[in-house]
Amino acid sequence: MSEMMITTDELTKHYPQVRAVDGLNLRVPPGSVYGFLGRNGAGKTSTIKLLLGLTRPTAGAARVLGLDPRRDRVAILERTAYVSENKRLYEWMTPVELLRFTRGFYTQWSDEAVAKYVRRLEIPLQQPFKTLSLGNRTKVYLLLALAQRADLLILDEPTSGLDPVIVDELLRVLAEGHLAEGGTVFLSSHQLSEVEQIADWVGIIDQGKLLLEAGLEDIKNEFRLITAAGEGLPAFGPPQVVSAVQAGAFWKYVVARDAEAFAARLQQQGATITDVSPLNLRQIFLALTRKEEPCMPGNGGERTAAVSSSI
Amino acid sequence: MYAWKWWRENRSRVIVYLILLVIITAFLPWVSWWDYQQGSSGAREAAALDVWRICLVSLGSPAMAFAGLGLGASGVGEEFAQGTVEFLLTRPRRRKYFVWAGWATGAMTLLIMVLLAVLASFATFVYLTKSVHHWKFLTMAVPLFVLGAVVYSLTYFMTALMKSGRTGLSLSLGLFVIALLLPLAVRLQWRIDLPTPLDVLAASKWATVPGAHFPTTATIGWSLVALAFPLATQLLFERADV
Repeated sequence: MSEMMITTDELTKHYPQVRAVDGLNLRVPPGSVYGFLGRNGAGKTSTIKLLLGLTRPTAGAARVLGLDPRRDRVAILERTAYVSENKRLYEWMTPVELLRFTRGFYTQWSDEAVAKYVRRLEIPLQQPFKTLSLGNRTKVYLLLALAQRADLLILDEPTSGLDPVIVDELLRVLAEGHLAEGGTVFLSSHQLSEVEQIADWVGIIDQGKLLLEAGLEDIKNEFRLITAAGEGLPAFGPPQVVSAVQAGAFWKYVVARDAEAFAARLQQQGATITDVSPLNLRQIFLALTRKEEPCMPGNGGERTAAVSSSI
Repeated sequence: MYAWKWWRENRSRVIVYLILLVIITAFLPWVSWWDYQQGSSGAREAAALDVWRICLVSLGSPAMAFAGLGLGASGVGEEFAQGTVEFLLTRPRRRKYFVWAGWATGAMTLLIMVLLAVLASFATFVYLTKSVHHWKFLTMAVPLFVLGAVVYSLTYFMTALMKSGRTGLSLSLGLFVIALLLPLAVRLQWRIDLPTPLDVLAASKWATVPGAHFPTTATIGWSLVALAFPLATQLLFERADV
């Protein structure tokens, strides 16, 4: 595979009261839509700020487009478009003025793309930004990003607070525009259904740690929930066991691959396998990030997760 | 681009302020007109000049300090308060570009304000006296600009430090008042002369009083102070976590 669009190596950011990012190792392949999932406060925005050079890491390193955000911030930003979570732009500017202001920063700016997406998204160009609805504000922000014709598009919770029609519209625009031109999207979100709709890679982060990174197809095809009953079953599994938790008389294991082999191994230890079922993204996400159940170490101690009894 | 944004954001305030300033400074020579009509030719001209100088310094220095406070508070640090700093700093430019582009645009505005105010005043004086001999009076723009630039740059820095124009303006005003009062108190108490931003205003005497010295050291010194603040803002901004 060609060079990764984003790589992080034990990337860490500590604030006085919190470990926002804690030894993160990401790999975002070129041309992919990478869904970066996590609960509120999981460290998604902090990670993005590190990738864009808005803040400096406490430890570790990141490479974006093969460049170091600490040293090559400007070069990265020339080829990276960003839609921030807060959607704050200059309130007094109209979208026309925002376009005029922004276009001067970019050599690859496309007026054709502007015309196309203004029509497509029906953006009111002459209204001051402060008078626009959240949906239109998001559209303007996305328009500014798409017109840059960037290689990498970083979206931080782009659809939060939007109604399903606008969400669907924005996702379609992404798919028809940026992705159709071979761009890469790094999409931070906790809207799992949207991520499932367009992502082909998924990274799940919690408390600053990456709990899972896998292709979405692999998750759908390979990940299984094994429910087993028996005495003395292992709380730790081989590396492919993402999580394991005891729920009453049963043990529930989320297995990343080779589920049959692991089930057979449990049976050899006297377990009765009551169910082996596929998992969707939501179930995986809940399994990895819910904290109501006691957490169990799994996968060599690197991943700490709990399997929800709802699975 | 950033200069355009700065101007677009501030132009209405700047234009209104500039119009008021020019009208008032253009009117000032009329105050000295009464003096001009008294006494002998040489004496009356000198008296009129002096009155004019005092009026312009008395009005011009607080006016420029006020302009400096206002312009400084709308500097790049205000982007934090508006919540737009994330958008701005994800544009492909070095952070220092935004610091210096914003500062230079404000400083240029301040300079244009001073020049127009002094020119308007000078034009009225020439009209009244029919004399263009006192062209040195135009150099009054220098001390007024330096004074305004010190306040402007201090406010620009404090706005970036506090990440808010309002807080930056308040702190800057406080510090400026201290910078004026402290040397006064020290002089009264211990008879020691500390430098004060008002030292640059001695240049106005050079413009009108024969034999007066131009305060070169004070002018250069306070100009450097005015330049040090955007430099400090750059260092601050480049290290700021957004």
